[in-house]
Amino acid sequence: MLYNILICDDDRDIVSALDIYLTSDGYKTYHAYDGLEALKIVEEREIHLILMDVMMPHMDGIRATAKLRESKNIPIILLTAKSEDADKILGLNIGADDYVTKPFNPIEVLARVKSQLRRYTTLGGQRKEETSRVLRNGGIALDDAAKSVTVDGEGVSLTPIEYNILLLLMKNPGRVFSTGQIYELVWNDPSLGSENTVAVHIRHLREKIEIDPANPRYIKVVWGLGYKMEKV
Amino acid sequence: MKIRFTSPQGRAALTLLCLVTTALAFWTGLFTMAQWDNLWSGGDYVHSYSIYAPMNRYAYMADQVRDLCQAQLWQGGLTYTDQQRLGNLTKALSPERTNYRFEIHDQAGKLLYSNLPEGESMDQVAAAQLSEYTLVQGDDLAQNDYSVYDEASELYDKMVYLADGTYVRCKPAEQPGEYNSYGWRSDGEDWWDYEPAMDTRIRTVTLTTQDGVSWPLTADDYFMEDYRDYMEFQQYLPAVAAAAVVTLTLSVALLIPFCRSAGRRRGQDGLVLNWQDRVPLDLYLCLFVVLITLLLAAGDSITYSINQGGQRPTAYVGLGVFTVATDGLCLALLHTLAVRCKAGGLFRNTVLWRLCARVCRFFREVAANWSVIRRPVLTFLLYLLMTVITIPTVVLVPVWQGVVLWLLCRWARQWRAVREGTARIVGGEPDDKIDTAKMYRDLREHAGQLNDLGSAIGNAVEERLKSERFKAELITNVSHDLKTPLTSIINYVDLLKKTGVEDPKALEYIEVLDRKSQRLKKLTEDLVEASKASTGALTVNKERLGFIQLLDQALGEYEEKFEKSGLSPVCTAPDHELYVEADGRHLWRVIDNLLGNCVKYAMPGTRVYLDVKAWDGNVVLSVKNVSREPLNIPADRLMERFVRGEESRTTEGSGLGLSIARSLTELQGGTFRLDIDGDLFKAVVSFPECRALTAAPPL
Repeated sequence: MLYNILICDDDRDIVSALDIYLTSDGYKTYHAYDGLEALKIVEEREIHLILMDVMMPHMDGIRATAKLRESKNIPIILLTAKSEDADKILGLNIGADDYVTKPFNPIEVLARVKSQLRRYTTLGGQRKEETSRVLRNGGIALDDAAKSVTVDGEGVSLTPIEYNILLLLMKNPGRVFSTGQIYELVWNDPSLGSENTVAVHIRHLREKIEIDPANPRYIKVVWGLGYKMEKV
Repeated sequence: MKIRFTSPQGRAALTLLCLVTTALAFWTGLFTMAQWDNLWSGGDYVHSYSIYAPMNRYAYMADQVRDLCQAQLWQGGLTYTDQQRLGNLTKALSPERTNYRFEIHDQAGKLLYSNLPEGESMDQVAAAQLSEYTLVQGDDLAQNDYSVYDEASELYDKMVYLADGTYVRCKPAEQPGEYNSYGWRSDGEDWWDYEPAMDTRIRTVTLTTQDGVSWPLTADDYFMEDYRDYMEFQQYLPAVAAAAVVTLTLSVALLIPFCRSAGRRRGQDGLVLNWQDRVPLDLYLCLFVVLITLLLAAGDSITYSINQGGQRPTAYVGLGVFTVATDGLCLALLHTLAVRCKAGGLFRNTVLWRLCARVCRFFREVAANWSVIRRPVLTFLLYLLMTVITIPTVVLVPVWQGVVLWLLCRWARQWRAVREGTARIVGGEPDDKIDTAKMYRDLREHAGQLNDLGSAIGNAVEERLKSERFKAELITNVSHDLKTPLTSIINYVDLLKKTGVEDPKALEYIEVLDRKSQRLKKLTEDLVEASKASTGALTVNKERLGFIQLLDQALGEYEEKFEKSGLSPVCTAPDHELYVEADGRHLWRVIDNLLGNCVKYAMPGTRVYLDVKAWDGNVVLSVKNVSREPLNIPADRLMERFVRGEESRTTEGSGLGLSIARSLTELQGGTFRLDIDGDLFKAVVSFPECRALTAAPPL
């Protein structure tokens, strides 16, 4: 299926760069250069996903998002130069689905677009065939019977240790495990303390299931306390 | 509440009304008070107090009759004028001409005089009263006695003066030690003393006067006149009394808005003072008293003329003018008092107060010019002087000493206020002001200077904060503006890579572009963070963290990077967890920067030593590595922004890492230190150890 993506940014170069990436990946794109134009296009066309800049003339991305959320639930990814936590929280609270800070890595943007679209179209209708053996969190599905893990519908190959760590975290979403606890529970050996083996394994695991391992969505580092699986 | 009567017409009307009602209230009230007894007695003249007015006029005449009768007894006859007086009095007091009845008895009960007609006795008389009076004769004779020297006996004889003008010579030897019949006593040689009680020349008699009114009145006398007036007043007294009550009530009701509106003008805020309200109060009162005295004197003569000459219209007009003038003066006084009360400082605007204030100021200025030594000495002398003055009065001793104690306590309290204010300024509240009102001069000056100092510091601090904040804001905004074009650069460089360029030179150039644009990205991010960390614009959420846990996690993140750089980390840590109070994300950034530094600048193939230990209540982490390039600048300079080892300029990194690490460490209450020993680079981060909780981290 051909997805329609609306790119909205007042910088035309950024719009055309994104256009090149998205078109080469097989999406159909529409362009808008401020919030009002974006609203107009969304009214006229069938749009599946919006990439929205925050700082724009006439109507900024936050107000446009709020306006869109009154009637539509299309995924919206905010693109912005503002990198402060407060800005991110505001954007996500107003109804955006994801948040990418400029300057962004185009590969990352593509991955996020793909992830959002898959969740919006495919995963939305899959809830019914869910079995008790499948653990789910956001885009991650872990089937303990088949010992298989999929992220946004794509299979991921994990080592047994990584699999067991993920299983432990998926079973207890939101709970913080220290490295020592993870070591004891996964390796079944008493922890000797001060070992960064666990940390290394978790980093590998993150690289496999996260879009941007430096800003993880699922496996969060709680500095000084341990790791946890964020409920998404 | 809205204030009425502020327009000129309203004020004039109110004043006029007040004038009329108060004048009416005064006269009706006065009349009612004068006839108070009449109002309540209900026409019972005999038992009213009014009857005593004519009674006393006749009693005065009766007293004269009494004196003349007794004089006649003593002297055996009267002089011609006295005879005429007695005759006139007898005529005036005859029962035909008066209703007054009286009898005079001496102490033996003998009747001396009576004006009772035949067949009447004192028992039938109304309003009867009894009075006693003692008459004395010859008490002035002893003043004329004198002493004479007798050459024969060589003693003084006493010449005693008798009522008939002759002298009797008494010798001291006649009755030694006893009073003679003239009240004199001697010891046989010298005269001792005089005793009036023993003087037979003095005669006394106590007379009783019984008087009253023959009721009903028959003769046309003072009683009759008074009674007629009394009965006449009786008719319209209730009306006058009612008028008095009404006008008095009305006066009060009018005087309240009169006082409230005093000094207010429609369309003007605040009080309006005229010349009356500006004159010193005591001068004003003096003028008032003088004018009132003059008016009362005039009023007295007017009423006198009315009483004398009956109904003359000019006199009544005069009385009206007098009343209005006096009333007007009183109202003017009330008005100015009301305005002064509202304006405040009722007693400050007086000549007396100004005089006192000037004297006080003079003394204070004199005292201010005393030298440091003279002041306590003179104060002490003043204290001693007052103590000496108060000691003889006993009662004033505790009062004076109490005053001194109070003054000392006051001084101590003010001194404490100054000290507390100073402590506050030092303690970081430079804009906190010491209340200098009501302080002693020296302390006030001192506190004022401290206040100035405090506000100067406060301004400086605020200026600095403002400029820091401005700088941070500027950096944030500039970096936002930089990020947008940077996005395009990064994206198009990436697109360029994918266009299938074959030329190795072009590929190399693209690689440079790619690297440099990535570095520019990192630089802008670090710039924002460094400015925020150094101005403290970051929020810090402190929690209890496992320091070794965090270090493990950080090493896990860096494992591959170390491998890539050919570095091997050597970590020594105690086998138990060490806890600190810090914000995990900020602490991670500190360690991230330190490890990132090692990766960037350490000599490949060397070891990086990471030591964690608890030392002196602190958790101390030291990171040691050997620098790839010679470190030819001092450690302190390394922590400044944009400074890197001279030879490291070309490598990646922004030069902000150590600056950020130090700012973040200090923001969380830790300390950050750098040591350079040749090529050995050593960073030491230390945080206070948190030992309050010994429980294991949450499971």
